[in-house]
Amino acid sequence: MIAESAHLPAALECPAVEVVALVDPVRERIARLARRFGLAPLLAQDVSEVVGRIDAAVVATPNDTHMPIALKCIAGGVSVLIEKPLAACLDDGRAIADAGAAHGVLVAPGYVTRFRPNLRLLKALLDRNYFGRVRRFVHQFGTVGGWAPLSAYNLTRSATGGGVLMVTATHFVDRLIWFWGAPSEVSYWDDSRGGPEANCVARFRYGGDDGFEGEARYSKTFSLAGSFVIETDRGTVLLADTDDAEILFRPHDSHGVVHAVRAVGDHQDGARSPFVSQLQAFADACRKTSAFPVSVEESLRSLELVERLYSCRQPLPDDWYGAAS
Amino acid sequence: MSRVAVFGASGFVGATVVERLYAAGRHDVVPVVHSSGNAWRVARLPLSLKTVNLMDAASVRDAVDGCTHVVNCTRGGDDVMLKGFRTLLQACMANRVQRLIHLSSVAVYGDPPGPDSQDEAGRTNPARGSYGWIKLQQDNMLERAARSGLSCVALCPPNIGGPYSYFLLALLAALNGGRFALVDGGHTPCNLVDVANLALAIELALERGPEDGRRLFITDDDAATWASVLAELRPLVRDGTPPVPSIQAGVLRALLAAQRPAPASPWRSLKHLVSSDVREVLRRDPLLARIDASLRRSVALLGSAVEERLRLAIEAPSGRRSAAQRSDIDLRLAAQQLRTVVHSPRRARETLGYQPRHKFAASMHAFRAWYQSMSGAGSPFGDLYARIAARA
Repeated sequence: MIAESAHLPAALECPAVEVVALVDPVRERIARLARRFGLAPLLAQDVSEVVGRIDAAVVATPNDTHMPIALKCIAGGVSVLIEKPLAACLDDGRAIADAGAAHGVLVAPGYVTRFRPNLRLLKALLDRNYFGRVRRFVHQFGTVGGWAPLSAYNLTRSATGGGVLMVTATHFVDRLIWFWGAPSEVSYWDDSRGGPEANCVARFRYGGDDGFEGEARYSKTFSLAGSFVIETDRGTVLLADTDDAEILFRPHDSHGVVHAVRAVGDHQDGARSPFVSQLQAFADACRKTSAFPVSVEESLRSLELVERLYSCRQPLPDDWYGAAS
Repeated sequence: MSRVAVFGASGFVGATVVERLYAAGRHDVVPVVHSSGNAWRVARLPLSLKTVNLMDAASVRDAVDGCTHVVNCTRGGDDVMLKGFRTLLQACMANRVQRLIHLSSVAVYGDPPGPDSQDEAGRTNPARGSYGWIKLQQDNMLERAARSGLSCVALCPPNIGGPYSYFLLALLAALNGGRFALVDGGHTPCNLVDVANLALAIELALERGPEDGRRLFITDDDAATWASVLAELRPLVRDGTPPVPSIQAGVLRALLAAQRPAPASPWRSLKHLVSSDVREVLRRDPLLARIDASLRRSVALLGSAVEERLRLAIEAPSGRRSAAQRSDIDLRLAAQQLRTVVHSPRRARETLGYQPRHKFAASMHAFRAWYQSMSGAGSPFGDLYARIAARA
């Protein structure tokens, strides 16, 4: 579905890319996609049918299939852009990374929010202590339900590698790794009773006594406006989870004033879809004109952090009537 | 062990029923959902979900196959509610299901419901085509199925409260958005049932109770008013939200009357047909686009003054519509406060042994506990989450 809603439109908008093949076990799906986008590509039901006839591949399949598909591509010298997360588990991720290194083939993890100009600006400003020193942060994202993939794999723990933490929070886990690296301490709660969790809360601590801490919460049953809030010693930064949101900074002594922070001229860059930027960066990296901005090592550290969170899982309280009494 | 298929298991009531039956451990539970996208709440349990399209008879029969009991909590478009429900009834009868529990609604008694609807025998009077009307058609189908030998009952809740309550979330959103008004100070009854009380009634009805397909009211047994519901929600209302205004019932009735569609008239229909919105759609057809262009050229020949008068006659909104549009109040929530009847669960008590487990205050407390936990209000970082809520 993400191929139809994001990757194919991005490919058609990206001059550096030509769509030459569509692969899906169900031929009718890709035939319909080809018709919808006015394409006449090679249609295949297995990636092995196209290896040798393509330069690069976007892997946008259920998480547990990333590894076998990527390995086939890499073995055939085909560079891969793999939808987040890199794999359904760290071991699979390592297998992909190792194969890429062994064959000298590019593995590009597809964390598309990295290509949002507002997040790149926020990262650059935080690195320069523009807003002061970070003290605390929160991030949240919640929807009542969500996308329903054709295979319904989203509700199968073995296929996704988890629940809302793996499916939704993975973008923020990547952001933590990107912004600040791996946290020194973590705590984690979710509401799984054996199946994939629908709600989770994670806490993170960075550094020692003079470090900072934060919390993140994700839901598939409750609407939470996707936003990142960072409290610094000078004020509070807020960035909504949209491609075109402005960074808002409210100093402690703001007298009710909020500053909208943007880089000079960034309105031109902001008009471009992050999926197009990601694909362009992938094409550039394939041609070795520049490095892909998200390294495979970082995506492994993301998977490592997810597994670390799951390993210290505590049940999220859900006896609301007990709480009432 | 009985095997219970819960259709509509991804919904608010269906998920609560699945959780309750699973926790009780006395039934083999089969959650049946329409789409995996909304099924996260039940998917967290170690149960195999069945994805079924009610419009597909074969998949419905397959889901019912081997089940001794069926609970129907589905909602959907008119087609699903009528044709899909008929398919479910047929599947239950074909598979010799021992018992079907169907979720009806007090909406079948109309809006507002008549005073005689304090018990189930009251006159049903929903507006044709309304949700209540669709539910009434379902109830009628259920009674016919009962006469054909299917043991079944329709449980009939009012607004449903407790954790995950859509009704309370909508009320809270209207409060936070300054769109909620109390009618005459909020003294009228707010018929509520806590979702756990409703799930309890469904569990009881699986094993006992009437078999004639007729309705049973399932409500909490302590009557709440709109003012008391509001008081219970107040701790969740954002700081800085203006006080809730009050509106007189007479003023509200006038606003509602202004919002009703005007009666049919050939002139109004013609105006609609030649309005720019409709013509814009018609112009997508090349032939109709040419006819439209030709008509426009003909009108232009009459002169700009005539053209302008025609445009105003066709496009200008009527005074009746603009009066309603000016109102910022959530009229749907306000209209519910014109209901004066209290639906009694006496018959459910007598036939099912239904005793609501959670009183109104405990139910509202549970909703608040759930809401605060979900929104992060109770977290040590609650002040930062509040910054997001303030911006939303």
